[in-house]
Amino acid sequence: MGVIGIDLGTTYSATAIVRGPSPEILENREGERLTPSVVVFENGTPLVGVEAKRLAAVLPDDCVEFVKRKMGEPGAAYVDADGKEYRPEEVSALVLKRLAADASMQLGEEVRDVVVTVPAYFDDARRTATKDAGEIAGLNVLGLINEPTAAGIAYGLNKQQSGVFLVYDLGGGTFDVTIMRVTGTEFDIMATGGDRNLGGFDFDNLLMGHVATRIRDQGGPEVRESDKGEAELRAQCEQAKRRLTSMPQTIVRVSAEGATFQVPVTRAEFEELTASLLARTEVTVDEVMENAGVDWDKIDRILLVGGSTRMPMVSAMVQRMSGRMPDIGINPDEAVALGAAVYADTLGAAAGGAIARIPVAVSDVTSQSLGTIALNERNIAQNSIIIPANSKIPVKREKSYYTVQPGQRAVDFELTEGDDEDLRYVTVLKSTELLLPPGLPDEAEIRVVMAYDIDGVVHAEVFLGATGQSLGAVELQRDNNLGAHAVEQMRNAMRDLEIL
Amino acid sequence: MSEELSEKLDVLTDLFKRRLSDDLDKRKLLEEQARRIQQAEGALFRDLQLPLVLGVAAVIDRIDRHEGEEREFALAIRDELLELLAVNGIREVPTDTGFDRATHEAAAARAEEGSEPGTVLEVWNRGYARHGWVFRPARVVVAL
Repeated sequence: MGVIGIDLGTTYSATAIVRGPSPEILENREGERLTPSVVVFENGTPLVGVEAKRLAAVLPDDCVEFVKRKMGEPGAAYVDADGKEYRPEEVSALVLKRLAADASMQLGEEVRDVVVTVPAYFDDARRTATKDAGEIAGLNVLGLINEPTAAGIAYGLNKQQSGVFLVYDLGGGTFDVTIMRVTGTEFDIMATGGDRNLGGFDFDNLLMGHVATRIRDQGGPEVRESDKGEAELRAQCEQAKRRLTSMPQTIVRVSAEGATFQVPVTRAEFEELTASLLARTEVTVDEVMENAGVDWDKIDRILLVGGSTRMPMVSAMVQRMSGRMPDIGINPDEAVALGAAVYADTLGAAAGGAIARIPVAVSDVTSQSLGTIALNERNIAQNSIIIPANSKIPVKREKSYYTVQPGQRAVDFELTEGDDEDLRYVTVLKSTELLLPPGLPDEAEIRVVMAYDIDGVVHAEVFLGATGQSLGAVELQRDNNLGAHAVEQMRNAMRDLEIL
Repeated sequence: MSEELSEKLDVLTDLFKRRLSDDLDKRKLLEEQARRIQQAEGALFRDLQLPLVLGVAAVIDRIDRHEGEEREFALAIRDELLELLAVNGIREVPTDTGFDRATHEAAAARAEEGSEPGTVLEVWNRGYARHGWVFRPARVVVAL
């Protein structure tokens, strides 16, 4: 049975598999290597991918796009005409089910075992939601993998001894930058950041504005006033942007009101027009490097991921910042899926007692710090981290705290998520009062033990230090995530659902 | 004698089964090779020819919108380009069949009196396919 890697993207998704010495992309049933992450409900029947995107303008109210941005949030991503609500996990499950079905058609065998990619910044709720989406789709999610880690595997980082790597990922609609340390075959995220509203689309928009102005300067109309005019302008500008990756200049040609307008654009002009956008990515790179506590001389390699990194100004900027050439060579649109396929092959082989064709080990780590609220030496409540972010899973840690008055009969126990000591930047996941036995002295030791198991479930237990008596246990059931029963119900409901 | 015949029959049956199995294996191998050749040919088209074809399609789009001087001349060039694409195995997607999501992309939609829902009201851009692969859907306006 085939085991595939799935790059579940915000706008496009892709699948890949390892069948030979290197991973390969699997085309979907329409013959495309990328599948739009779009679902349209046509008379109640879900339609996914290429054809859904083509139908979106006809059924805008029944079209769900960018559902990845809603993963891990409560509430519905779509409500149909009968009032039936679809959670983000269910919509995402429809995309995953279709991707797996297309992969099955390509491979000639059923695909059930998958690895799904997630952004490095995804917190545990969003990771759990992604895993749940896979389960609802009837798939066996062997594991999740961070997108930059997958890209790193595609670039062969797992074959290196060790090093610190920067992944610059500029896609169609989002920008992410991640710094990770690779030790042997282990990938640890040191810092990650991004701009969720910056991508190739914004570069197109600036070029469109420039060309529209030049057309008016030539005595032409405001071409963006009509939908048709705007559509033509966008198509021409997108193509011009592509041409400028390999040519120093091009001409954008637009027909309007019976006349043809020609606007020459040089690469230098385009780069000047969009310099502010590129500068935003530069600021983010600086911030992430600061958060990771590294300088450029500590970065061993720089990987470019995402179709928009094809613009020469991106590699030039990275080269100027770092003083070295970034790595290129892997199709930036496909690197994440290809890396996920390698990891899927490893996990699939391990599950079946076989040897992977391209073995790789990726340690799963906690994405955010977990802790509790305690008073500091100045008697101010602050976040006290017990399991730091990027701890390898499974992990179990403990920390001692002390009561603040003799004969204290209770403690407020909060389970927090966040890296900051300042409570304004921390999320309280669970809050409960724990009773203490009578007669405790001042500064009686209270031991908090936290564990994060292999399935990402957080357990916490509080003990009295002197006797070891348990004061209470907390298991985290995230309110924003579905329970096991709900996942099972949705999985059953989707089992016989026809997806076009 | 019947034992000898039976033995011979067994040998022949065994030989037949093995030949049949070999044939099936060979057919599978051939099918797999044909799939790979088709895939490689498709990849070559995608990498080498598609950018050029899309460029030609963009020129045809502009001629379709051309309403100025020398229209006859422009249309003659357009038809020549369409013929050139057809000779190279690239077929234009039909748009007189009503909206078909397999070959059309709805660029816009509007209600229009006298038009059945799903009718193609306008074609903004022609669509093209090669060996059944719609690499550029026709962009159309659809009646609601």
